[in-house]
Amino acid sequence: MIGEVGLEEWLDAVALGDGYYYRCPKGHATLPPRDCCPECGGGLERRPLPSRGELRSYTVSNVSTPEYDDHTPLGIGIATFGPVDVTGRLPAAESGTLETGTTVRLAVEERPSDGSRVPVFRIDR
Amino acid sequence: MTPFGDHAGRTGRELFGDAARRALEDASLPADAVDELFFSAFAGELSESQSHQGPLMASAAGVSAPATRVEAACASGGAAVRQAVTAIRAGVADVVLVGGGEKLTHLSTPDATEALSLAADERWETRIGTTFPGAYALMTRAYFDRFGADRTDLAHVAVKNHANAVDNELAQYRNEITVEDVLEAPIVSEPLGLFDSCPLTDGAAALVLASDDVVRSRNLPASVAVAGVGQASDRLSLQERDSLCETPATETAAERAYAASGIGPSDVDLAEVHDCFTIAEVLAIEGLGFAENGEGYGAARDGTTTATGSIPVNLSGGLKAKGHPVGATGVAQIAELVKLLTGGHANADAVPDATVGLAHNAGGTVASAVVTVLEVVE
Ligand SMILES: [Zn+2]
Repeated sequence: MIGEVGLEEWLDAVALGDGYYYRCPKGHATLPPRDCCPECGGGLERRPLPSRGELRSYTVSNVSTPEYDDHTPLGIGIATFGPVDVTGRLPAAESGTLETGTTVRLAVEERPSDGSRVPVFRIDR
Repeated sequence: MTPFGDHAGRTGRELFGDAARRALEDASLPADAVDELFFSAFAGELSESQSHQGPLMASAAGVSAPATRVEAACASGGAAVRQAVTAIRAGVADVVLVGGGEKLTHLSTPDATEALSLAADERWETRIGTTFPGAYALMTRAYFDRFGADRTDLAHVAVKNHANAVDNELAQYRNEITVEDVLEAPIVSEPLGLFDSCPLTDGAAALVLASDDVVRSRNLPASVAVAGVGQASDRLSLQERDSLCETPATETAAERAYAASGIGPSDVDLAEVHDCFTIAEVLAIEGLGFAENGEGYGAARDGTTTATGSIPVNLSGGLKAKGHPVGATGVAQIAELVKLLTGGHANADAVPDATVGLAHNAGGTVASAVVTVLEVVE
C-alpha cells in the first residue's frame, strides 16, 4: 500500500535530501509513488532521485484555489530530475529571472492554509 | 441547447429539462420512446451539492428509463455521447437521450477555480497550487519555447471565436474583440491572459440518438449520422507526460474515430474543438491532423480556421465565446455541428456544401479526449 503514508514518506525523504523515484523491471521510471508500474503493471523498486533538476516549464498565476488565495501571485513549475518530473512551487518574486532549463533543487515546505507539505523548487544563485 | 450564459435563479435540473424537451421535439419523438439516458456533468457536487444526477435529470426530462451520470471532467459530454453510441451499436437501446449541464456562474472565482481543479491530480498538482489556467500556462510556455509561437498568435484564436459567436443567439459572449484587447487584458497565469480563457457558464445541451431501424420505422427527421467516435486517455498529471506541447489522447481518439468512420482529417469540412484556452485549440487542431505539430499556432492568424478558411474551427464561437458549461460542452458541440451541417445555424452560410463535421472534447489537460465524426446522410 502506498496511500497517504507513501506521500508523507516521500516528502520526508525529499526533505532529508534522500528523494527517490521508482523503476520497474522493464526500466520504466515513475513518480508519484505507486504500487505498480503505470506503463506495464510490473513491480516497482526505489531509485535515488537526482538532487538537481532542470525547469521544464513554469508560470506565475494570479488565480488560485481558496487554499492559496492570500498567496498570489503563485509560482508553479515542472522540473525534470533524471528520468522523472516533479511539479513544485516556485518563488514568484524570482519569476523574472527564470527560464526553461534553469537548475532547481527540490525541497519541501508547508502550505500556509493547512500545513500540508508540498514540493518546492529552490533556485541556486 | 439552452442559451449559454448566466442563468441566475435557475437550477441545473431545470436547464437540462429545457434542453431535453427541445431535443425530443426536434427529433419528433415522445419522452416515452427513450430507452436510456446518459447525463454528463462534472462539478455538481460542488456547484449544487448534488451527485447522482441520472434519475434527477430523467425526471426533469419526463423520461422513465435507466439513467446514468457520466463524468470525465470537461470531456463528460463527449464521453456520454460515446456511451450512447455504444449502447445503440450493441443493440441495448434504440433511442438514447444524451445530454449534460452545469451551473457555475454563481460560484466565486476561487470556488469555481477549486471546482474545476478537481479534474487535476489533487496530490501532485492541485495541492501544490496548480490550477487549470496554471496547467495550460505550463503547456503554453513549453509550446512557445519549442516552436517559437507568441501571445499574438494565440490572440487570433480568441478574436476568431468571438467573431463567430456574434450571430449565435445561444452564445454567452456575442461581442467582437481585437488582438489588442486580448494582449492588454489582465494576465491570469503567464503567458495566458483573461481573454485566452473561456468563461464560467451555466447551460445545458441534449441530443437524441437513434438506431437506423428506429429512424426508418418511425420515419424520423435524421439527416446527420454519427459516422464514428473515439476516446482515449493519458496520464492525469502533466508531470507524467513525455511532452507538454502535444496531446496524444487527442491523436489516439482521432485515429479511432477516423478508423471507425472511414473518414480522414482531409475530408473534414468543419470542426468544433475544445478551446478552453487559446493554446488548447492549437494543440487540438494539431492532434486532429488539421495542422502539423508545431504549425497549428498560425492557423487562426493566417485564416485557415476562420469562417472563410479552408477548415472553419469553432464556428459556434467555441468554448471561448459560446461558453463552457462543462458537462454540456461535448454535447453542445455536436448539437451546433448538426445545425451547421443542415443549414439551421446562424453561421451555416459559411459552410454551405459541408457534409462532414468533427467534434473534439477534452478533459483536464487532455487526459481524456473524445472525437466524434458526423456525416450528412441524405
Ligand atoms: Zn513498467
